[in-house]
Amino acid sequence: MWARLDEPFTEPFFEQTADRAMRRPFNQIFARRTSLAALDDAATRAPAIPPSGFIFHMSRCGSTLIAQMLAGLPSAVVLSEPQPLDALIRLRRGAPNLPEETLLRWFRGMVSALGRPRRGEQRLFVKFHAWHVLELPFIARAFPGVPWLFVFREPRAVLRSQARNAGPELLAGMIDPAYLGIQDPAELASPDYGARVVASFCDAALRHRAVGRGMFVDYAALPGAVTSHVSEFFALPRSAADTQRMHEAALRDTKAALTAPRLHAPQDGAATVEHMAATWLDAPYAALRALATTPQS
Amino acid sequence: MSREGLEALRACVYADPELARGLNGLADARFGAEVVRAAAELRCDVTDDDVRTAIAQAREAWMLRWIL
Repeated sequence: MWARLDEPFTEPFFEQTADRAMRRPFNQIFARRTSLAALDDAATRAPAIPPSGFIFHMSRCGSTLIAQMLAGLPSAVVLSEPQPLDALIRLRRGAPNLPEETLLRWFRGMVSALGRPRRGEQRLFVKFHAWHVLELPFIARAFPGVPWLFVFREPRAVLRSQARNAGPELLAGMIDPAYLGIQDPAELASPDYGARVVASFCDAALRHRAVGRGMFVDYAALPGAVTSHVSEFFALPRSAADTQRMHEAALRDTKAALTAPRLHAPQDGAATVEHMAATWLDAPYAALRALATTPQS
Repeated sequence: MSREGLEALRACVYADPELARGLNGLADARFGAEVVRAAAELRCDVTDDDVRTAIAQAREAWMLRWIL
């Protein structure tokens, strides 16, 4: 379904922008349904902005902050975890008979359709869902040469954040267990499951480094890294006004309105987090730190 | 409700970017009346009630999209 959107994507997440659009009576009456085949020529039918950069992440690590800082630039369109791209990526496993070339064409078409300029923007950034780093090679095949970031954070902080308010990526079954090498469904109920999922994102980023054009950004370097290393990496012009806009965006707490503390925090939370981080995440975290803010050519 | 009238109007709106832009720019309070007026000009049979019902149905479908 296609809604008309005249205003920029300013909310922290695509879903919020879509919801705003669908509250307008025009879209309630005239939102248009098409088949996926409509994406076949979407990339060539109307002017679109070629992607300038992709953002991957391990979850709860500052990637939304980066997206919001980029969205503060008048020259940029930022798509933050767009559900339509998630749906297409899921088709890779959900419809295994679908030719890869068709899926690539639809993926390009969807990025093109969502990323059209509305106010003369010239740059397009996509922040993907955390699990999409598992499919980084597919995304890189769709858009060869587009630089990408992987954002990461000290794993105990990530696990504590997830324990307070678990993201959908940590719900058992939201990600095909085959990505995690899980054969036995009973493992989905394991207390380690969430840490294994997050570790799989880090492992995938390290593994897919070979794709090239990647940069690893440590949460500890935010927000400063966005106006320095990241801007340089994404070839952003860095006027004083743009830098100021990004700093102002960084001051807004993008997720404050979205998160609520869990009513029943686990009693043994600290020990559990420590055990899971040490077992699953310390090694990839150390490897990521060794690569941090180093562009991979 | 005239489903055919609304479908005919939708086809006109999809084919005419200027018309779409004009209707999209309307304030919510004027939207229903202007849609009916535009429909009449285009000889599509659409009433106030059709518009209200379509909006209510769309709103409900959007709210329930994750659970149905």
